Amino acid sequence: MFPPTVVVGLHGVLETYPWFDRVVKRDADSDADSDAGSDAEGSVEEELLFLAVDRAGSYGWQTVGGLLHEDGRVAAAHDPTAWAHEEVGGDWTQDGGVRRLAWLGAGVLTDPPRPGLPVRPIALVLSETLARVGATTFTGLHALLPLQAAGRNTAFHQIELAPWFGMADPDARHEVVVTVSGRPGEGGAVEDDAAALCEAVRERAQGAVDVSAPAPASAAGDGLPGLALDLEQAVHTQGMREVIRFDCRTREWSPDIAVWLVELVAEALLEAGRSAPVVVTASLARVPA
Amino acid sequence: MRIRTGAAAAALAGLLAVGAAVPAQADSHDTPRPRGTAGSTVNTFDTASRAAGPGVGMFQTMGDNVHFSHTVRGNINAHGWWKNLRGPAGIKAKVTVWLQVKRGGEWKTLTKAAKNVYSGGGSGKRTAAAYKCTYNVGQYDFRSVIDVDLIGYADDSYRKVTPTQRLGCGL
Repeated sequence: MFPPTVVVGLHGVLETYPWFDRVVKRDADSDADSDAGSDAEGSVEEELLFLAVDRAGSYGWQTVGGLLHEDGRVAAAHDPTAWAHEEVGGDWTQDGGVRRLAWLGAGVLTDPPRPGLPVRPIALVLSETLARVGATTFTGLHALLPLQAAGRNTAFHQIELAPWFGMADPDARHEVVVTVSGRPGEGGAVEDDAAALCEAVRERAQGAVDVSAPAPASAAGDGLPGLALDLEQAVHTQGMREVIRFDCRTREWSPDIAVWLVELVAEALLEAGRSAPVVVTASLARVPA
Repeated sequence: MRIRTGAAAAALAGLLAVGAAVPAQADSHDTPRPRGTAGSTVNTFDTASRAAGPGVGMFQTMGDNVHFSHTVRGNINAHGWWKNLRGPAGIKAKVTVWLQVKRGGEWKTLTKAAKNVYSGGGSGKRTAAAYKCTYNVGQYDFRSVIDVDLIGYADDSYRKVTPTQRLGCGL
């Protein structure tokens, strides 16, 4: 099985800026000098989303290893301290459809254990990277959460963000679907947890989110128009299936609140002793026309 | 794929390099000389190497930890790249990545890849070393060793050794 790996993905519709093709071009000779055979990687999306790694570094989140060579000497050596970057990718097909616009996979550092998982900072640098290349209509977020590697955060609790998200237009309403998927038999979330999970999320949200009763889960992940997600196709989520689904209404819709919904679910699952890896999604029930 | 850069930035980098750059034959390494301890997660790099000639300025050797591929089932990957911070403008570097496993108390190279790339990172500006795991059961310690040789310049030959990763990848 995989070591603890977190994956965060942003879904929606991206319209690249009119100047995009003037700034970004294929460089045929960048691959011409390889003596190791062809590299199957190499899309424009993968290339540009790697900017998220530099962006993370600018916040002080060290996510790759490095040596600083200065005047012929090694002046410093670094290893990841926030998360261990692995890979990025995305789909920017310009057809107006909902796509998995950006995802980033990373190893979770466990020695020493870190409080929580780095979902919010990864979502932040991904959304900032997308904003560099185009106008995004955000429709959903998914996160693979290796809950077994998440240390208990005794310094911060998700309920503390309720006043943050309470500062929103009281007349606005966004219909959002939240799902939890896992592998059967791993000791993770199961269908019977649904009612307790909804109640735990409702309690933590403190009225900033209106949480409905659980809805029937869809084994095929149907009815999620805000996501372009295929758990079976992605390497790290193969074998997972949806076990819990509930609807809620929020007063804003953004990656910010989508992360909060995911984190609320993660915190509640951990508190309930459900520490196997899960994929949690938060997405719009209806995609804007 | 390259992101076009402004002429002003290129000119500035060129000015910084003027008078300092002395092209020389780039160093060549056929085998890594890594140091490190099994299970170690501390910073490591190879110090048994010579210092650079003048003109190479400041750059970074960079890489990710050995990890399972997110797109190719059963593969483990290691990537290496470099960043030109204050060096000769517009040059490429030969980035070599050795993907290694620890067997019998020694590090053995499973695969080696090398590529001449511009500064940056991202899929078009890095070297990727991949190993296809077998179905044999077992967990092993993996790491990568990354070497950056600035093409046309005599840089130092320090190498980045990434933290050891224990992965269930059959040999």
